[in-house]
Amino acid sequence: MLPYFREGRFLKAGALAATVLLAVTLFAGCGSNYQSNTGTAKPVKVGLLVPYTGVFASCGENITRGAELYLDQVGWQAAGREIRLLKKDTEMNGQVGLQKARRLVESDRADILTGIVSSTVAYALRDYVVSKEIPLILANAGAADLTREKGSPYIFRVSFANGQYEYPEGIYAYDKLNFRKIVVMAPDYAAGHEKANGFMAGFKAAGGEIVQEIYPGLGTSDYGPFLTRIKDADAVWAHFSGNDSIAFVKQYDEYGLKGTIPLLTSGDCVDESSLPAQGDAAVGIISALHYSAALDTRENREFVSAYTDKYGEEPNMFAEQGYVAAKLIVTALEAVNGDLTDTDRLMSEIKRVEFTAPRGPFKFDPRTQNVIFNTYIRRVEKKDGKIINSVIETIPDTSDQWTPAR
Amino acid sequence: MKLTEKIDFYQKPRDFWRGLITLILILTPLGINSYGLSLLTQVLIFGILAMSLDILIGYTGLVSFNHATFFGVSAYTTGILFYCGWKNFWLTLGAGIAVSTALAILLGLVVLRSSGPYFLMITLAFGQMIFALAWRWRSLTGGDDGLPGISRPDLGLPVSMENNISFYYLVLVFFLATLFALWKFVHSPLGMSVVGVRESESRMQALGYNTFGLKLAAYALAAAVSGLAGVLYVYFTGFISPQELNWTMSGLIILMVIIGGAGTLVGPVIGAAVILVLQNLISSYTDRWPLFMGILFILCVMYARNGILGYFLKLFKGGKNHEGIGS
Repeated sequence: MLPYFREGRFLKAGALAATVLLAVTLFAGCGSNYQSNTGTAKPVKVGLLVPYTGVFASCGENITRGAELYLDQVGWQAAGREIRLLKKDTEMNGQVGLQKARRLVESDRADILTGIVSSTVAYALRDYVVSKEIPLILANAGAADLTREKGSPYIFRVSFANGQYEYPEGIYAYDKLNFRKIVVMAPDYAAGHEKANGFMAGFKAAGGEIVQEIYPGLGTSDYGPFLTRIKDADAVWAHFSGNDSIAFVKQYDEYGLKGTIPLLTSGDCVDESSLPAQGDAAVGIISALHYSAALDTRENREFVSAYTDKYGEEPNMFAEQGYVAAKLIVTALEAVNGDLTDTDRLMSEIKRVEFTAPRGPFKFDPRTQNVIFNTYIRRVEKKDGKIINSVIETIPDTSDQWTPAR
Repeated sequence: MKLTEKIDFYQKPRDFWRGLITLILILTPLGINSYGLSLLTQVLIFGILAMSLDILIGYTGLVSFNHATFFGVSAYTTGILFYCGWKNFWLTLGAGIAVSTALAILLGLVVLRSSGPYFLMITLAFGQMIFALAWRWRSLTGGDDGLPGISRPDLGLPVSMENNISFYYLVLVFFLATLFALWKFVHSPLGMSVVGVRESESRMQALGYNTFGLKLAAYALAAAVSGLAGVLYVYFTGFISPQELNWTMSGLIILMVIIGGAGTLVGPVIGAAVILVLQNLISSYTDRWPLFMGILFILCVMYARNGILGYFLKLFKGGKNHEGIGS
């Protein structure tokens, strides 16, 4: 009845269990633990934690490409030290992300961590990097609290706080587009709510009225039931990303709403990677973001052509964020002359970094260590058969200053 | 009853092996780096969890597809109590286990009325309901961002759990205690009757056993043990998110049990070690790591139907084919 527990077998089973368990753990623990202390200039190890599997794999891939493009341009070195990029897959899962961060910090001896697409993973890592005193450069995760209540001297963000560009978009919608009543739609998860709250706070502060809020589930493929519920309003504001944004924008057009109620969106919703699939349905959408591939500055033209040459497609916001994160790290390493022994000094140099990025001027807000950027209001247009985000207005120096009533 | 008489936990030769294994586990922190230690801690926590599921899959014959629910609910209970200011380990441990056990008894009254594939489907459905609840009830659970920043507990002892080595020993103590307790359970008259239900429920009923009660007891016990794993887990990682309640997590635990060897108690611990370590090792070399995990699962299905432990036991016994207890 219980063959494995008969006389004498459990001892073998147990011995085997312990051997396997120990062998694999010791192997894992010691496998890459060696560290060469010879040689004057050890490589600087930068841990890049992004999803390479799952629905957000393309974001992770774009961030990696942006970062590698910049590191290529500087020859993979800063202040005479080689830079090594250690790429790890977070699978968009906090537990996995934390385990990978442990491996990077404790086994691979990474000096700096960057990447992080999902806020869940960022929250999961937050206490760990602070306790290990490892600087973490967020290259996408948008949860505003990460640079507010849960902020730390070790946490920097080069991307955006949720609501940071949606808030000025709300003001713009009232002041310049003269909308008074707006319907808000966003996916029902933390970032969707935060972004919608940002837009609504800006729009209400300017004097507008939100007549309806609709939150479909994340990953909805049929927006019909939600689109038919939309009340009469001057405009609809929506935030969707990835595949959701393609389905939403196309269905908004198919249901005949595009001709009757103007559509405003977050920049994510008309990302350069989604535009080809959205096609003509996207033309006319007004959105806000800290970047557009169509931005006409010298830095951006150079970035776009280098990126397109290397990867055969246009960069999007994620690629630019990866590029900026890499440039920030290299610039800070130059500033400390490649000396990473004093983490406090490294952090104060990171905080001080300013440069002109593809997106325009880049700097940190010294109080929150969150980025300050230009918000671009863009309109989707078709130029020479190609669909692009033309910049129609620039709102300079947008910081994450507004704080919603809690 | 002959079997129970024969298996004496303190019989001499086995005593030696058990002592050796325990000694190795106790001495490990001295010879391992901190990353390896954190991985070993995680393996032990998931080992506790996989053992608890083995009680259902291997001994009771119930393939439950929502085991992550009890694990996650207890972890959430601990997290929420932490946010309310509960810092004492023993109180949160009691609360976590109590909530998951109570939930298991309530759910068990419903789901245990079905069996086979229907049981699997209904447990999956309930698991996803709890998952959706954690995702949507933002004010309590923090939504998909989860509950971050849960610090290590206060044991009321003069030892700080912030030290990873002391935390490892805490987990080790609970791991050994769980192994001992579950070992005792499966060889107790109650445990034997549970195995009887797996072998033939109708015969057990004919013998006058209350099989529903037996299944409910096993279900509640498994939930209580996974509740223990949940509390340890949330203190280990310092956060909890709905991912830990999702069916993918339940699936992962089932894989640990099956790969290691269902119905062996120790096998699932090996399964947990193999899966977690491979996941960490392979994924640092290639993005295509799920491919290699998939190959491992296929190999197990083709050549090691009784799990890794079952396969090696067969080798030990000179290739004699034994019926897998979980098959």
